Amino acid sequence: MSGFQREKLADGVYFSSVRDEKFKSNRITAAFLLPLGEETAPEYAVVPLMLKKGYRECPDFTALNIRLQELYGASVFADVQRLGNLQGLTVSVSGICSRFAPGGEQMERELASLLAGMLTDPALTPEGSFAEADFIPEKQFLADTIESRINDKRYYARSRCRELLFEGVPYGLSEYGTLQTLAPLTAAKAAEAYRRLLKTARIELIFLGAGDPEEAKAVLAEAFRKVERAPLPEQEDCPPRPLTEKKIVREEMEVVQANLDLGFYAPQDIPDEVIRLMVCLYGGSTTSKLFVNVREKQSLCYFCSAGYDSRSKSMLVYSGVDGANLARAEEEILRQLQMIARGEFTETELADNVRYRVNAYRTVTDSLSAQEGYWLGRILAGELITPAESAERILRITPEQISQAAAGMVHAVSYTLCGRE
Amino acid sequence: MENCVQYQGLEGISCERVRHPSGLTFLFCPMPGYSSAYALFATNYGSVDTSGITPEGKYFTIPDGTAHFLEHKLFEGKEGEDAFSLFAKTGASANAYTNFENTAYLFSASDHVQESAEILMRFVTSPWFTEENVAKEQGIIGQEIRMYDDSPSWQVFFGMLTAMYVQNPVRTDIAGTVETIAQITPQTLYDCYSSYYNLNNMVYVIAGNFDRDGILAAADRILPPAPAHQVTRSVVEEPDLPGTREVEKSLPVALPLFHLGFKERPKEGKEAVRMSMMDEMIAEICCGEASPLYRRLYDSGLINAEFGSEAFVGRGYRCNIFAGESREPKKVRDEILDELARLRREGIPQADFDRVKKQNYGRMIFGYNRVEGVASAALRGYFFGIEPFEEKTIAEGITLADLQTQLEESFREECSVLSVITPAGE
Repeated sequence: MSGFQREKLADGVYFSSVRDEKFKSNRITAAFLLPLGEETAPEYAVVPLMLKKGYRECPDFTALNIRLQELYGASVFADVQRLGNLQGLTVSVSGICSRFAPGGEQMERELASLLAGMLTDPALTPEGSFAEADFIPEKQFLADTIESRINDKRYYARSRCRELLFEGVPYGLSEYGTLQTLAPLTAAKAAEAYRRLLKTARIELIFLGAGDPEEAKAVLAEAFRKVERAPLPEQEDCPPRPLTEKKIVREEMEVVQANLDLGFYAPQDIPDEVIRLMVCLYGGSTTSKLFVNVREKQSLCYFCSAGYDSRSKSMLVYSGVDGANLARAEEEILRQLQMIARGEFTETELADNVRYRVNAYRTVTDSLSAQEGYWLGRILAGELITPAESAERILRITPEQISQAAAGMVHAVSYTLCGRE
Repeated sequence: MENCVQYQGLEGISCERVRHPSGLTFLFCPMPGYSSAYALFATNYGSVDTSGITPEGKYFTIPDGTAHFLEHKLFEGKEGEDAFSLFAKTGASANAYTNFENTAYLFSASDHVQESAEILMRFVTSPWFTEENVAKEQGIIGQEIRMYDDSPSWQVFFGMLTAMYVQNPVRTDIAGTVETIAQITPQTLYDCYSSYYNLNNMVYVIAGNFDRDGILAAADRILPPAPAHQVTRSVVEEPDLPGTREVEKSLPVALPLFHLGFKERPKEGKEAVRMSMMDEMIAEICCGEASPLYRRLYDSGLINAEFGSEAFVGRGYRCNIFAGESREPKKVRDEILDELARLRREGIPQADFDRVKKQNYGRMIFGYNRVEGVASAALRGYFFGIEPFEEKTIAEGITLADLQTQLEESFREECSVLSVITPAGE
């Protein structure tokens, strides 16, 4: 296995790779990163959906999928993410390694060519727009995606809590935009957004797998040589607004089980790895305070977990609760955090969660998708340490630091989604 | 050690099947270069098993949701300690699941794999059920059931199963209901445990980086020989045709979700695997992303990128499912039925067949990438009664003529069920 390599291909375009011959496939991802804006979110969100439909040399979606079948079930995947105050738009291609291709295909080059075509040479009309027939179903799909967040009540409650925690700032925005901001989008405007993206977004290309990344790098470098670039300056993280008044919001819907989500601002001056470990101890594992006490011992919730977002420096606690237990559950959830802040946790409890986090880092190298998520996170953090080094850092954290991290949490939102009374 | 058989997979990935003197079968799948291990300790017992006979010959009926309930309870030990706290000492990530025909306990670890393997062996073979811990779990699982009541994807799936099957217990929710789990007593759990958690009915699979000899030595210390016991399963009389052709439910969703299911005759063993592979190929040719039908449905807005298909097959049941979101699910159903009829009439094109075969080959290669994938595939194959890595041989043997014959028997309109979740208030 080769170590993580990263180099600049063009202005604001970077190519990173890890070659690991134990894998049987390769995965190349292009991530476009730019500021998340309320008005621009939907026009950028539709771009990866359009890019995966084809490119100039293979403009037909069906023909593209036929080609993917011929490449032994290669796949193209498009995604939109919120990465703190950034919108992340990704297009990934995956395929088996050349050594497993019975027809002798150079799979790394094929995949890279496919990706390069989609990214830099999409199928556009003579007027420079996306084709209307291709655009309309994708716009509808994006609208459906925005509306369908209500289908998963846990996800919906979490997103509502985050919106309330970061009202008016990018961290609270949806990565897809809203129905209102999506409505005026046209195929021509979407194509303009694509061109802006190609010109101004930071572009991270990540190659992972057993194949030779040099083949892929050469193809992508050649493609980006022809692209005019003027990348935006890197986005600073915005500090959270000071808490003026705690938000307590209750929403009713036809649901059987209530969801209780709490939002916290994390302390700014404590390192992320400390906060992550504290959050793990609090609600991130099956030996966490929330799991053991709120769920197992007191049976107040079916699920009760906590998660930390380092970009926005915030923590969310999310739980599924019987309606009659809402007040008790919230009280107990907050009490468990206060206990950690006072140092009321044992060496064993902390050590168990240290081991859990270390194990999680040490298994990263056994999965292509886990590696991709890990390295993209490190790139955004501006610190390219390996999973092993991340694991080492955890081992040096002290109980006092954990207490400080818990004490520094500011409870800002209580959001409840419950059945109609 | 008796009964050690080696199977070769891909590029150094092998599988050794070992029958331990206790009666337990081990499947060891070393994966060179990987740093972690993933283990599954599973029993061939799930939610479709609605009755049993203890080793003493006592017949008993099993309330719905018991297999899942038992899975939760096994994590709790005699002194009140729970398995999660034991795994916490090794850093392993542990979990479990219950499906229709199996229950599996698992861990993933990069360090202290040997210790984690022993913890898994011990806690699964150390049942402890009391009135108090059963009562407590009824509360927790009651809340889990309510969570699934709110899940549209779960409800559309079970809506389909309930409509499709008349007697087969696959139509029953794996977790049961609040009412059925209230019937569970410690004796219920002990009866199920003694009947189905006999080591002869179980398998221990581990893939990745581990010490095979160390695990077998631990088995020698931990696992007593299991009493000879034949698991008896009740036979269900199930008609070929579905009970109901259409079912609908309202939930707070943005647009309708649907499952179009085709009820098929159940098969066993290798034949079940082969049939499900052929069905998946037919579904791909009919309306996979490379098909003209997919394009037509997508461009006209009848489906979106959530659309997909699946061959759903297990002990005593088999069906094929097309699922997705649509404002006009009935129209999608009609289009799929028309396309299936056309393929029957005009024949499956050779070029389509050749490409889908290539695609399946690639997907099989992908399956060797992850320790979890290799372990799960080995487990699935074992319970189907096929040899490790035999899926590749089965797939290679499928011909276009086989597929055409299969299409005459599968995906029949009269065997179809449409389950829809519509937006509440519409």
